[in-house]
Amino acid sequence: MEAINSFQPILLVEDNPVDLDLTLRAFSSRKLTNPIEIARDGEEALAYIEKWEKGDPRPVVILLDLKLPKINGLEVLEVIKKHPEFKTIPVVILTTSSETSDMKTAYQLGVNSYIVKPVDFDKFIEVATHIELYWGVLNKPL
Amino acid sequence: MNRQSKILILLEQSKDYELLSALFERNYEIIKPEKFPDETLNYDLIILDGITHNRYKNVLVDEKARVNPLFLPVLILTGKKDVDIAASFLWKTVDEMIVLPVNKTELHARVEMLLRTRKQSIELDNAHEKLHKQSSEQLNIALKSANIGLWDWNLETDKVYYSPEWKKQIGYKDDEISNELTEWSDRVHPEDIERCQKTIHEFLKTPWPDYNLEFRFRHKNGNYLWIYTQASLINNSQGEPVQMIGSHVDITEWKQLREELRMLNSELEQKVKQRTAQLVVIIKQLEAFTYSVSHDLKSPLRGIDGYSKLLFDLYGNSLNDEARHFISTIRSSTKQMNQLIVDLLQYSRLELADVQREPVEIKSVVDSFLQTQEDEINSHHFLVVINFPETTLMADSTGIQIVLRNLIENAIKFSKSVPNPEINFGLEEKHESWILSVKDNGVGFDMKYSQRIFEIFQRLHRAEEYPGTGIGLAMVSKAVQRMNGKAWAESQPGHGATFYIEIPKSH
Repeated sequence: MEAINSFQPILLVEDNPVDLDLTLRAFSSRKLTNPIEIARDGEEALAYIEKWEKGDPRPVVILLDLKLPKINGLEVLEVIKKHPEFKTIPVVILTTSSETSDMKTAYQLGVNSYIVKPVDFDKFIEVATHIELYWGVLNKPL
Repeated sequence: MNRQSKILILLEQSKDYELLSALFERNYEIIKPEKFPDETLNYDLIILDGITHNRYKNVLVDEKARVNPLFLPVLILTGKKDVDIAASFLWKTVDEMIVLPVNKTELHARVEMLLRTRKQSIELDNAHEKLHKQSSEQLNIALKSANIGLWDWNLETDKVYYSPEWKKQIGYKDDEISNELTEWSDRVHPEDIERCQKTIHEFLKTPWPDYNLEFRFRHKNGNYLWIYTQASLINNSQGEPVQMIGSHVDITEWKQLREELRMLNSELEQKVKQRTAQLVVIIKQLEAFTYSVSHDLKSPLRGIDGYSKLLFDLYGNSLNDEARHFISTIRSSTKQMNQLIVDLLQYSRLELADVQREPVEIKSVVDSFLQTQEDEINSHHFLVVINFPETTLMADSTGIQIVLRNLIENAIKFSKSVPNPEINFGLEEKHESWILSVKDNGVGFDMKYSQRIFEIFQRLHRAEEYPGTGIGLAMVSKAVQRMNGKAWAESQPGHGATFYIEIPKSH
């Protein structure tokens, strides 16, 4: 089971190339082995749902930015959390927005966690560690 | 009245007349009428005897009434046997009585007395007339200068007196308008006449105290004026209305002004609505702006900090000290920029958010903020004293948190370099407010800056000494103002500072 889990991907939905690169680097500094799949906007993120339906491995966690081109993060969240099969996939909002209204909406839609991206890269690595520990490792059967 | 008094002598016996006129002709003018009564005659006193009195007593009553309110004295000469009869006429037809035979001195005295009374009555009447003339002149001047027209409608004859001013209002001379009621009714606007006549009809049937009407009234030039009329009724002794008297005031200009004012008001209301709508749009834009500040301005900062950190981690070994210093300066600048964005965002949100009024457990809030600063407090060995028990205030919770976070951070920042740093928290209950104080023993400041420190971006220290964005105290001040409270500070350089905030119990 552990072998399968370590190949289960993490889906990272992020449009900003700098944030994308830094997130990838923060994870790689934690020597994370899970493959990371990337969606660059809301449409791309929703396209993954079709792939999972066809049998592609579903992600162990979805890291979702809110401010996305085409279809925004909250809409993506809503589609996933209403999907009969994939609503159990943990979704972590990883965003710059600390708007309380966004947080409220996200929780109403069933988000699993809401993390405001810190500007400080050291703290960002801490966040990556936290995500990995909680959603990557903890989900693995011991 | 210097003229000689005139005495009318009406005696039956001509010898008596001769006697009496011989007695008076030196002092008075004597009149012996060919016929009596005679309206062309003028006299001040009548002297008669029992026989002539009997003949003329009805005429005397008419004569006295004709000259009323002037006093026309009548003196009767009577024999002793007729005294009682003569006396019974006193104050009816006769004013004085002389008993025959005549005592000349007495007769003179009585005649003189009666004539004096007559004179006084004439003088009084003249004075009265003069006064009446004067006051009616004044009334006319007043009515004219106030442009008030008068009308006086005789309900029995249906004739109406219209005052000159009434006519002038609608462009007519005094002689151009008759006394007919139609002079009024024909000039009332066709759309108003029915309403006016209905009101008048009702008023005549059951009068009320403040009768008034507004109607359009045709001017000689064909234009319509707006007339305001007020009126009252005069009743006869049976309580039936016989006269309706009222005023006409031209209120055309006043009506126009009122209409203009109404238009201006509605224009103003329209403008206020527009402005409000514009403001709502601006507020929405501002909200979108702050949202974008929180999201978009921070993203590049994360890039700068992330890559400078990576640069340092991956290539730090191949850089010299100066290059490494550059990188650490980039990172600390980034952090400051981030703090600035966070503070500005909070400041602008404070501006837009509604003020809440909710229970705030003030000691717990202080404790929780002290906990977030635990590292600083412990490493600099701060003595922290909270001089009050847990107290629940009704206040804006967000505002109180902003106040305490900033005051605590300030107190630590400006005291941690002094030996034995201390922070004291106080809470004092006043009649209508609470006063919270945060006192430190740090570097303090000059009181001449005590106002300025609460302004946004105002700093008293260089950034390298005491880092900060210059927004903290401005936020404290704004948060307190929103609760209708105030914030102030007392300090002396080198002797610490005390910051006070007053929170009204009802805001």
